[in-house]
Amino acid sequence: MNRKRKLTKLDREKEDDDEYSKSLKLDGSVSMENEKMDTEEIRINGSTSNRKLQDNMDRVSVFVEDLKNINTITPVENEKNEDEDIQVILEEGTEENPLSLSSDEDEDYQDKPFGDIHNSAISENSEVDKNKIELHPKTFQCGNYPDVILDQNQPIQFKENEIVCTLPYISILPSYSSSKKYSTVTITIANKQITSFQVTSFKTSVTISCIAKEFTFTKDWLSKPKPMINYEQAIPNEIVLKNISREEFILMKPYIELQSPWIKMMMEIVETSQSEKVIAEYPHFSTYSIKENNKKQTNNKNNNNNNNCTDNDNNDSNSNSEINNNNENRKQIQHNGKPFNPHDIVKITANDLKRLEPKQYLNDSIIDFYLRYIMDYFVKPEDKEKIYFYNTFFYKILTLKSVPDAYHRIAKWTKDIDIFSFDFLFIPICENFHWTLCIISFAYQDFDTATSSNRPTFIYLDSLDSQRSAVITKKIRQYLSLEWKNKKSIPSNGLIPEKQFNNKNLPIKRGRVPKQDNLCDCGVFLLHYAELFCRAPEKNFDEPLKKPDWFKNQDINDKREIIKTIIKRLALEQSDHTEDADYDDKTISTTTTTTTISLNPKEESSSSEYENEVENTDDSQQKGPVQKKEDEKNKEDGDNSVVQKEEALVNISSEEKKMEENINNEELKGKDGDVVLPEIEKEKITEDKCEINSIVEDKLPTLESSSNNTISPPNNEIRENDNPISTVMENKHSIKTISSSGVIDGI
Amino acid sequence: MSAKEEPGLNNNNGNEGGNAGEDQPVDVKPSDEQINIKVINQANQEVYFKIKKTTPLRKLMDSYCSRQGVSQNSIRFLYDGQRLDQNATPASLGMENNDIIDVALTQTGGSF
Repeated sequence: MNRKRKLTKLDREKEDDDEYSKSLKLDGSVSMENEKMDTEEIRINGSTSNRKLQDNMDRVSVFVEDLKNINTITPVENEKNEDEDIQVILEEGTEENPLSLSSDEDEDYQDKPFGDIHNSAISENSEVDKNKIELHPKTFQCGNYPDVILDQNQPIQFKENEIVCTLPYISILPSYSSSKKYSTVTITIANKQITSFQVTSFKTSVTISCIAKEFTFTKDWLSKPKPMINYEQAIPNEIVLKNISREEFILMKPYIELQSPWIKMMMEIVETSQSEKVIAEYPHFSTYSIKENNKKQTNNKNNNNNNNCTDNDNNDSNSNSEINNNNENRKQIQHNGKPFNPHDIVKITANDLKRLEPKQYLNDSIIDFYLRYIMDYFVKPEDKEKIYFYNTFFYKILTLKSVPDAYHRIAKWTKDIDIFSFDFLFIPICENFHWTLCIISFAYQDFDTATSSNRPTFIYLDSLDSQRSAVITKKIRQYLSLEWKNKKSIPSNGLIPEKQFNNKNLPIKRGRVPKQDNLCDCGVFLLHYAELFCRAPEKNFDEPLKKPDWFKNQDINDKREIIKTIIKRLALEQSDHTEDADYDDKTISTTTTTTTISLNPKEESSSSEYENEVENTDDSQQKGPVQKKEDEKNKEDGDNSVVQKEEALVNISSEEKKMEENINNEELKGKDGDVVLPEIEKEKITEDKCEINSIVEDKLPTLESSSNNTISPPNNEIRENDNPISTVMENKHSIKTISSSGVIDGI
Repeated sequence: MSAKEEPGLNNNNGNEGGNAGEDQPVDVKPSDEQINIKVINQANQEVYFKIKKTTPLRKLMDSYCSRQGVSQNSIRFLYDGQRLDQNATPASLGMENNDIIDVALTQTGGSF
């Protein structure tokens, strides 16, 4: 593992299988002299390589450091720094003196970054002492604990072979006793030896052996799961430094690289004042309907009666125009026949979508999105009133404090509904980086009088069987009891007696369901459990979900593809409804510079968000869809046709409306043979390719040849566009995945 | 993205049509114009904002993020369990004085 390697030449990189990347993010607001005055984020991505990966096609992520043996840190209390290290962030915004956000600032508020601005503008001629490069961050982002303020007096120093920074001890071990709250630790990240680093606290220093391997999303790691302890207490994989002016950083950058010869620097300047660009919303406004619109309601009824999701999609895309015509008349907004709050929308960004690539963890957006999608398309119409999905944050908020305290925060969430009118309550839970699913059946039933078909049961589905369910069941039973009391007993003036849910009247049953054989798919399992359950709700609650052969693990891989296709289709549909101006607003300007990797010189083109490019080109290229062989999918079950159809629909939706029907027919005809896949498929292939951690130069020539799928651009238009697109994506991905290859003098 | 143009369903305060995008003058008393909103994060830290009912909440979110030094992409704003739309306004959401916005970190999971 720690074998020595001496690779100093750049071209040796290409041969180097070993890739571990490290990322430093510098997030700074621009100095006031900058005309733009945007808040920007500067990232330094360095990578070193010192490990053997079995498969150099693995994507290398940004994870740097972890403390496994975190308990071995011996912090020394820092009396002097008390009260200084962790500044109270809330200088303003107290109850007595709330932050005032008046509309008067509307026009220019974006130009004025809030908070302190490190206003040390450096003119072009100013000298940088290359031996003393210091970054003065304000905030240090640390894994799950982003709110840590760094000691302003302690710069981050880039030294010959290490990076040194100081941060409050509590930021690496928040659960530590409060008496140590104000001590600081200095972290020295040795560039040459990224598998370990030092934590120094005054004159004592502890070398922590870190297990970066376990924090890198590589196949290598994922195929060999190890039990992880203290994950949440781990040192983060990203270091984010705040408030460095862009000019300052640009001046420093070459020296940083000089100072740290073993780090390959990559810099990305992005705006942080804006959130990531949303590529799809669900539900999207174009699918809303209005109560008065009888036609649409009929449509919806048809949809509901028709459990085939693809048919639903057809109706949806065809009826979009009708709905839009009636936008002005809307009084009650409906989505799929149900009253709907137009602000209750899940927004999916490009990064969320990337999480559906194999081996990636799913996040709350994807889970929330797909649970809603299940509700809208896969739940039988007669079951619609029986199933309720909580969102992914419900359990999180519920468990922040004791349940009775947290209940007051949660109670409003269900103010408009009676959860005890539902047969099944689905509660997705994310704890310790693991998704699990609770299904509470027939909570309103009396346990003693219930039969096996409607018995109140707490079904817990854990695709790893790793979580202890005792706490979860206790908290949720507490919540249910409170909800019963506040929504049933109190409104009825005690006619309905209080009900305490306990292990007698709401016994827990762990479902015997297929389990994941890796460490990355639990989110997908959750979604698949939920979908299968909703398609055919369990009947026997004496032994609920005793289905070890419920589905095959292959279905899980397919599920990622399916969800991805659904989202891409939505994105494409919705891009038609979005005015260009909207995109311009959201475009994130990205400047890319690399020192060791010569990206395509077209910096300009990389400065726009690549999804934009892709979407635009998609539209222009729709006339010539790319033929693509179908073997990639390997789908044999019923879902196959779903995917095919949906992929075809991607095509349809962005065609002109009048063309829709014709093409639809054609697409369906071609369904048995090769499937006509839209441009977006090509994007996917390129994307996959991009994630492979080979060097950019490496990838370009081999891009098409190494792909299993033959892409044959049917007309010249595409061919012309081909290179720019892929270049843009190459650029983007080499940054986004922060997987630049690096050379290191090994350990 | 254009959902902002629509008044919310639960527009239960008197300020109908108080959307940012609308040109109609909002007829409210000055005292009703601004409301206090409490933003609570997962560590139960509270930040109070005073915001006009017609101001898009994007401003509150931006302000919160830059003050706290967090990226908007790493947190979610929840109002009554709904993800907060950047373009929604307190009026369109029917927010009342001293309403609470929850801030939750994004959740990811795959194993463990």
